[in-house]
Amino acid sequence: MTPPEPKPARRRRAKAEPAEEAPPKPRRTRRAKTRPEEAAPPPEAETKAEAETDAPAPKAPGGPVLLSRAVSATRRAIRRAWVERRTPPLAPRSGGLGTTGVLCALVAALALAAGVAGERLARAWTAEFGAAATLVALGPPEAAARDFRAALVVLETTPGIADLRVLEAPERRALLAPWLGPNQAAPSEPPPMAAMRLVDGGPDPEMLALRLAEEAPGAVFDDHSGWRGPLLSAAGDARLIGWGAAALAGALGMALCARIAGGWTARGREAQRLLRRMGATRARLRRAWAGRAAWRTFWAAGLGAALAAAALAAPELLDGPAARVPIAPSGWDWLALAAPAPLFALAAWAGARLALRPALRGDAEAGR
Amino acid sequence: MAALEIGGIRVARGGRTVLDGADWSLAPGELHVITGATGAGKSTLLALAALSLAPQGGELRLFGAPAPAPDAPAADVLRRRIGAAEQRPAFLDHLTLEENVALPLRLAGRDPADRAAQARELLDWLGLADRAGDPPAALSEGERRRAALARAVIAGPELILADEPSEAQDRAGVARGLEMLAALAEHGAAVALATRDAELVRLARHHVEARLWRLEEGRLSPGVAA
Repeated sequence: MTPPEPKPARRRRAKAEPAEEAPPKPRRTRRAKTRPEEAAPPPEAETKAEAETDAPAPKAPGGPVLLSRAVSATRRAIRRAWVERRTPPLAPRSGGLGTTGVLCALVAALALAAGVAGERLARAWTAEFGAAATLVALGPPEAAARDFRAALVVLETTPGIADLRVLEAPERRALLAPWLGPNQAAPSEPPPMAAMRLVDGGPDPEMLALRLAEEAPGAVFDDHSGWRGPLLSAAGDARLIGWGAAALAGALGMALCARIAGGWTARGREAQRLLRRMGATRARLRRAWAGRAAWRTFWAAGLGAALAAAALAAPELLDGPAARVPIAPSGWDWLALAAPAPLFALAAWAGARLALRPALRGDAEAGR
Repeated sequence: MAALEIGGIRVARGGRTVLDGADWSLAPGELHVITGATGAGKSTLLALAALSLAPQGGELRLFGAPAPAPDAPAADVLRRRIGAAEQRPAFLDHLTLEENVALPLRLAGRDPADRAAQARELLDWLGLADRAGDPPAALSEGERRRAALARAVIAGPELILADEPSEAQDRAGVARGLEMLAALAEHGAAVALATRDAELVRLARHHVEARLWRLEEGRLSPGVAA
């Protein structure tokens, strides 16, 4: 490659004709302090500054070296964050991402609370009503007492029955009260009753009915099968609706966050190209856009979840009917409300990463 | 070792051959002024040198080594040794002018206070000190070009490329920009300007040490384009 030797233009020292003061003395970067000949290229011979900022991560071999590199990387990240804390981010404000994150997380957290409540309700109904049975002896008091004792003997020897317990008079009156209504007092001596739990599918109903008819004709065994089925079916529906609403709200929120983060990143393509022309690495651009989108969405969604938690918790602080809001989580279930924040942040990160691909590939640059 | 060497470079854009076997070498400490008519390929030549464009043929060497492809990770590192002021400079609109000018220092990991001081000094010298806190959108075309020049040189790059730096500038502004680039060349930078401005060519010819080239029919030759 031998370029033609041009005839040098007439050489003169700058006369400082237009500008009277000297131009600012150029400050070279640490690398530029050396002559270009000395500095000769290898791109991998990066300056310390680059290593602290934009250097692509070298391949880690593993073991203790991996650990020490992880520590170094963490130190670099902290230092970078410390240095950059006073400067505005490279990416512009992510218009709409924060608001979307708050609103979507609010809706998703409420839907999630509904899902958790539906699940809790279904479990409670299944546990409380699905395996409960009662025995009551009807008829004249003496005959009823005799049949009740005989029925108890039958039930104690029947497989599939556990926790057989005779109910005291106050419990029996309390059980009868809803059936008699507020204007009629429960009898002072209600018929004898017993409660029990069915295990292993409960006793064979036909066999039990035959034995009771023979030995205690006035005793009535009720495993509530008449209304237990519809109740359990309703509990299943409540569970399905709750989780379905939560999944739908979550999926919609993730799609919205990803879409808005992607649109915001795509709008910054000119800025990304400019930064690449100045030597910004792919990692730097990913941090500036995808990282910022994820971080902003995470905090926004966290705020939305906190608002939802406050809305659910507020009635519990009150007295009266509002205190029994069925949707409010309890115990560790409150933690489930935090789930949308990382999920939405992940979606925003993925949306931004996808939209960043053209600028990272550099194909637009090459073909420009 | 030359900062930039091209040999037999060929580039076609939009179905038209822009550079057709151009040869050129730019060493550290040299200031080259490339002249040529509109569409002659000056911007394409500088875009090649700035690793913004890949040639279709020929050889491109930067700092003594073959230049990587524009989308190769090695190009990211190499670009930090190059300062380019483009014909239509772009800025980050959410940052102030001072922050925009200091961007190369920021990418190099320099301390915020240091980079702000350096940006202010450069802006002051280029007559933009009072616009330092303004958004780029508020600047005139001439001010944008001066700011782009400041941004191109602030990190002390080894290779400086300026595309039509005198456009929309008054005479004093053209002279001041040229004087700064000549001073940087004296300090060891390799500087290339592309222009069709007669005033800039006159100043380069009579007041600074510069080599003049003309780009015609896709090839470079010594002299000034008509």
